[in-house]
Amino acid sequence: MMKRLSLSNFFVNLIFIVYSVICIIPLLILLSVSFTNEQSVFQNGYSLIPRDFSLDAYKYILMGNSPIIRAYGITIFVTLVGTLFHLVISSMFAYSLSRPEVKYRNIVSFLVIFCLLFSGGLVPWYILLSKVLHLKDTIFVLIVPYLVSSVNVMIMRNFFRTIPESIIESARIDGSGEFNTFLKLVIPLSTPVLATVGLFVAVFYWNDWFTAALLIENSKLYTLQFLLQSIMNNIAFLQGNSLTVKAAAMQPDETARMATCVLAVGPIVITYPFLQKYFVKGLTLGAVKA
Amino acid sequence: METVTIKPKTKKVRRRVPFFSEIIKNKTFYAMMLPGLLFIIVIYYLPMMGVVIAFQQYNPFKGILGSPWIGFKNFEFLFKSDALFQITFNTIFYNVIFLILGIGLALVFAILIDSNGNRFLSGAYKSILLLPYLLSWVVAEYLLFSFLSVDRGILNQMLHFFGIEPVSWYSEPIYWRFILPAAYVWKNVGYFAVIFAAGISGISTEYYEAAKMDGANRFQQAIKITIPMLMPITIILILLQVGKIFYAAFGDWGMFYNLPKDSGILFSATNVIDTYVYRSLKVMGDFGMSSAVGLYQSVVGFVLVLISNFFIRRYDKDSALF
Amino acid sequence: MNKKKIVLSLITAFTIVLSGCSTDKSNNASTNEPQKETKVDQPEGTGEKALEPVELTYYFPNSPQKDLQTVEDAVNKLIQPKINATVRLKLIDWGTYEEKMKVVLGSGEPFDLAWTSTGLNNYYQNVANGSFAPLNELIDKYAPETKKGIPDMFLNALKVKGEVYGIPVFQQSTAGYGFEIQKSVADKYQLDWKSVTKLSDLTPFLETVKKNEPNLIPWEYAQNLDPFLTAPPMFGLETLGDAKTPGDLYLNDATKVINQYETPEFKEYITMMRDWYTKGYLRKEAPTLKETTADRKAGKNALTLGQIDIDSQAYEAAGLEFTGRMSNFNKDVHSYDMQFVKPLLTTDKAAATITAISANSPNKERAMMLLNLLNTDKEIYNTLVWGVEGKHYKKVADNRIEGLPEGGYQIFAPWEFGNMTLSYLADGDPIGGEVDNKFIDMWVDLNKNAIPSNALGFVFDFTPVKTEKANVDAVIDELYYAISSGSIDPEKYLPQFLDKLKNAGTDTILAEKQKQLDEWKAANK
Repeated sequence: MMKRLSLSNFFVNLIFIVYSVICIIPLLILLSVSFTNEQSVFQNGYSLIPRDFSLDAYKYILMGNSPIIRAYGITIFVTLVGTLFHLVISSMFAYSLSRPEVKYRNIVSFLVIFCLLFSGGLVPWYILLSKVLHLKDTIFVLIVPYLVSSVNVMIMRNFFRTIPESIIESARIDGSGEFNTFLKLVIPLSTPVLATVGLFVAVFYWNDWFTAALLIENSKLYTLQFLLQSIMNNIAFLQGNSLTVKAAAMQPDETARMATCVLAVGPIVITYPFLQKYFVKGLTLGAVKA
Repeated sequence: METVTIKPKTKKVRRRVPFFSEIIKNKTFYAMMLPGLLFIIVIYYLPMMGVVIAFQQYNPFKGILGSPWIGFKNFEFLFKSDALFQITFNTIFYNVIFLILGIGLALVFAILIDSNGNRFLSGAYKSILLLPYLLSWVVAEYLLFSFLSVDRGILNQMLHFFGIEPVSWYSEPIYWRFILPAAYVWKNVGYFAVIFAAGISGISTEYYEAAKMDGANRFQQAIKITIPMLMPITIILILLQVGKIFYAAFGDWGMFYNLPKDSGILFSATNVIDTYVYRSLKVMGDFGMSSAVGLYQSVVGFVLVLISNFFIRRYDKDSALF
Repeated sequence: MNKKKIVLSLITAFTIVLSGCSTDKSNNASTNEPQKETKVDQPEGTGEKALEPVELTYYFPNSPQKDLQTVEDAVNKLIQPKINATVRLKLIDWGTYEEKMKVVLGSGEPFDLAWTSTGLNNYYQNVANGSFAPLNELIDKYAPETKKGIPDMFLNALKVKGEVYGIPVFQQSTAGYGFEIQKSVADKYQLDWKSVTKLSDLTPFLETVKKNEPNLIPWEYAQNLDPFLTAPPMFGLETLGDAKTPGDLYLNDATKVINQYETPEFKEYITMMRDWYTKGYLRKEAPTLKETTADRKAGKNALTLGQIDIDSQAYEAAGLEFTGRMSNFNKDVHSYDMQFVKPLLTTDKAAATITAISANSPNKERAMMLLNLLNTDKEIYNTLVWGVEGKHYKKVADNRIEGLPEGGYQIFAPWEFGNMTLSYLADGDPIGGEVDNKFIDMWVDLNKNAIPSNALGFVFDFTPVKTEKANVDAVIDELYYAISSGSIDPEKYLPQFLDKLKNAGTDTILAEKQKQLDEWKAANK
């Protein structure tokens, strides 16, 4: 494609730069406040560059409670394993739903959509996981409930449909079994969608604090987000309650919340750009066509 | 192995095949379907039985089996409420705007990013666009507050700098009709754009080369090739959101609660079904009532999905959900 | 991906906790047929030496503590020889506690002890659901000393249909109301703070501050400090159930349920607040502020509402040094605290912090024994509350300690367990108060001599009017704080507010409250 240095090109880039700035500034503020002295924030409000540099907030969080290192470990493990299995199960599911030969695909698709819309609520979900499946306080409870997502299955299903039938047919002629076709042919062609869905799933697992809050009591299995959320919630809660207001006074507040956010989001923000190469346009498709 | 004849993709040959023959015929596919299906049944459908709570005076100790049935009483409070029109209107109003803006802008962004020759910039833009999606609304609330706070906010500080009166953002409902869509787009456009970008990368370059040889410029290429090719995925995304039309922000309603800081004065512009229910029930904690509203929202969304799916089928069978 | 559920419940947990928890905002609930499961009647186990080892589970909220295990071990070392049981301390963080207990109780999971109150993990609602075990017999059998250590009226406040389902923690519960003023401000302008008898007396002080101290906020206001909701006795009212829902009593007429928003006192109050707000005594964002810790830490508030049990003058009279409550947030900001409304013991104050035993507990007797220890054994109590000596705190006087933050255990919650009269004095308590138990005696006296409310023990069951309550609460959320902070014109909005309340069903609620009150009075003659 020709690179044209035209006016339209310039404008497009300008729009993006402005938009990027809007996206980034809040995050820079986040970073800045987290490294600021608490008093200075109260007196002067937020600013882009810390007025009074201080590591207090980080000290408070990192030295404070349960081992953060271990929580990072748990979260990383859950994210990697969860994302992998999610992709495996969902892609198989989606592929089978995308094949026209499969007679019941519409019925099953309906089932997939239906459960997206209707839900029984929190307590039945909890009872299922703890009483029925006995997953409470295990590492599996952090992974299992989220291994399939209706939205992702639908997205993948649609993507698989765009793969030219001729490719599949020629594979069949060559004697490849369906699963083999799937594995050796379809998957490599689907890296964009797999990478995309994989990213969303990974972000989800990474940010999930709720599961741990309700279903984990063993501090060795705490996830990162849960720990950080606890800190943030505790601060907020303590301030609102007259019984505990004394305890609230002892802790750094705004800056700690910001530091929490930085610690929570940081790793994702940093690793995501490196995944860019999987989103590359049409190379693989073109190659196979030949 | 079976001999395979190359059949055109469109017509399915209809044969009267009993259930088991079908399974055996496509056994690999059904096997691949199995884990996912099993999972959905256990994790989503089993707890769904709990929806009956909507018709009970649910007592946690007595459980679902022991709690008394009270018919539709749990639905009363919502329908008797003064605010019913306001919250329903707001919910739909914002959702429609979000849908159009979110998906529309994402399409535009995805196409623009893709057309940027510089691979590095492309990637950079995509990453940055997605960043806000990675934050939680709680964080976003702090950030927005730092912008809009009357006493200390950056926006007002800037206005002050230019000699303009500081604005009381948190006291006037009308501002929020703009702030909320802007916030939603800021946060979510990246998600959709990345999906579209993935879709675009799946489009064979041959089409573009052919078009260019025919003399089409970039704009025409976008209109004639990219957008039609993205239609299926766009339709799917729209349909999936439609099912949640009565759920504020399609389920992610925290924004309506946290951004306006739960301020009563702004309710006329910020109160949606989910926030209303949340506020009404947070003291009482009545499981039955909150379940009832959820059921109501689900049913409406479901009906809408059925209707839209039906029409989409007529337009393009493959684009439909089922 | 159930994003909706995640966010819904995340926000639920976070915000339920943020707003639902002042000691006097109670949400009392049903008293309908609590299940009376008296499985306790086993003749064996009373004082017999053949006690089998048992592990008790104890749920309670607090901030996550690094060194919880050490404390648990220390406590177990002390209690095991006495009752042959060990306890697993399940500390759940504040933000999650409500949701967590909801699902634990909602699913019927067995455990032994749990912290509850009228605010968080609502005691009355749980009793109505049959989640807690009835304790009258257990108390008499295994914890008679505990009973002696708590004034009767406190225990009575927890009675539901004659049976008690939890042991209240005896602590500094009663509080009178008044205000706090920064010492530096009072001294500098020689403000006669001792002569204040009502809120409106503060107006000239606020004016002085506004005129001369541009960096200070004259009057501190946030939703959790709203005088009308937090301190109804200041207006001659007392709440029945939670403070927001219409249906209060006048202090001097305990028979008629009235709509507090229609009273002349309310009108007078909001007119005054309107005046204050327009004159700039409050922060512009006052109606949306949920709390004000930031300002407190920065020492920016000149005057504020105070929930005060023992005020500056009382400490002075007792010869104790006291820097004022504002110094809890910023060591350098001292305040004069003054109480001008005498303490009133209402149900929600007496029931502000309670320990309950689960109806599903497999070890109810043992749990009660543990409770008895926490209420009577000084060593065990202080280990649980303050930690291990040398590691988590150091002793600076016979009955006083100083916390060691690096130790990893700082729960700051003597009010959460057992009986607070056992507690060491710590940072923040008046200096010299540990001598001869002066401080403890002071507040014990206060509690014993507090005026009990006319409705002490009455609990409102709102299930019959839950529709109306839901809608009324919504109206209040919409308009109340804007009106009561003075940010909008009462002439225009008060009639609107009252109208909306009426349409949402206020009269039905009032009638129901009156009915239940009359029944309760008749039954308790």
